[in-house]
Amino acid sequence: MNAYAVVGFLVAFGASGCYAAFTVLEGRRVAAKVLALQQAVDAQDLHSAEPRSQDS
Amino acid sequence: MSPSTNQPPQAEGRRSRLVRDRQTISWLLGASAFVLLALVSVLAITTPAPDYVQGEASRLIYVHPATAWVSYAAFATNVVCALLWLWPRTRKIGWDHAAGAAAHIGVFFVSMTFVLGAIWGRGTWGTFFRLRDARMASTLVLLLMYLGVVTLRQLPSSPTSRARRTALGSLLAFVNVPIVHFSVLWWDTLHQGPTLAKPEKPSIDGMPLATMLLSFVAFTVLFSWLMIHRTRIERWNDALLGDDLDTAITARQAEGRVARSGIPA
Repeated sequence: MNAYAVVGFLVAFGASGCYAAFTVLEGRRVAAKVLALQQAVDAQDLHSAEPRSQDS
Repeated sequence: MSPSTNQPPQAEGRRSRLVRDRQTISWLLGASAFVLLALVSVLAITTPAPDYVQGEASRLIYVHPATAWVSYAAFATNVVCALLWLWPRTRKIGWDHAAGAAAHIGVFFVSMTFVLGAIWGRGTWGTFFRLRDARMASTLVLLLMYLGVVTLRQLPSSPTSRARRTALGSLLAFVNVPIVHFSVLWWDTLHQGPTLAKPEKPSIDGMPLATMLLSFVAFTVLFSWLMIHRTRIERWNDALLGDDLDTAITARQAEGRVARSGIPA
């Protein structure tokens, strides 16, 4: 095999693997944010919340 | 209170079963993509080079056409989802999420096609890129147009106006896909003509053909797996963005009311 084929295969399989890994990591990062947001909403007692004063 | 806990137990059970099924499908697709790509990488090295004249560089036929095919598939998925969003009867924000995911994946695969083509071109034609070549120039334009679509999605706006904007951008960009594909037939280019998609017998046979077809299957499975994950990311990003956007819109509206009434904030 010559250098072009070797570099080509490294690009094809390496980049695909990196993109797949990046997708998984991005998914986890966004999922963690959504979960944190949901937990923050769950922690609030929305029914007892007073409307904020217009003066403040 | 979590939104899911407000649902009746039957609906909750169905929902968790659906989530479990989706996870199983995602896991199976991911594992299949990994195994198939590993097999393709072994076969691409062990199978003889398919072209005597081009020599060893022609081994790139085992990956380059497959990545081009996946970019076409991604752009076709993108435009179908865009049309489904634009059609009032089928309009759902989920189509926009899928369209965004497909555009992102398409940009990645067309970039890879471009790079692999440049490497192959350097090995056989002696040049990485030639702007006056129809296939190379049209592929570059395709990449730039879909980069534009992906960038349009990043601009801050409501999900509806973002979906409309990117759907129209997708329709415009997709016009270039057939131009790229048929450029080798419509113009004289350095790029070779079709190997498989032609009326007569394919230009290769035996193990090289089997390896090439397997690479199409492997990259298509990878595309399906990526679609599941990227669509989910788009949906979750919207959930986060919606909150920030509502806050920002409320703040701007309040500023506007203050400015109109002439009362300093």
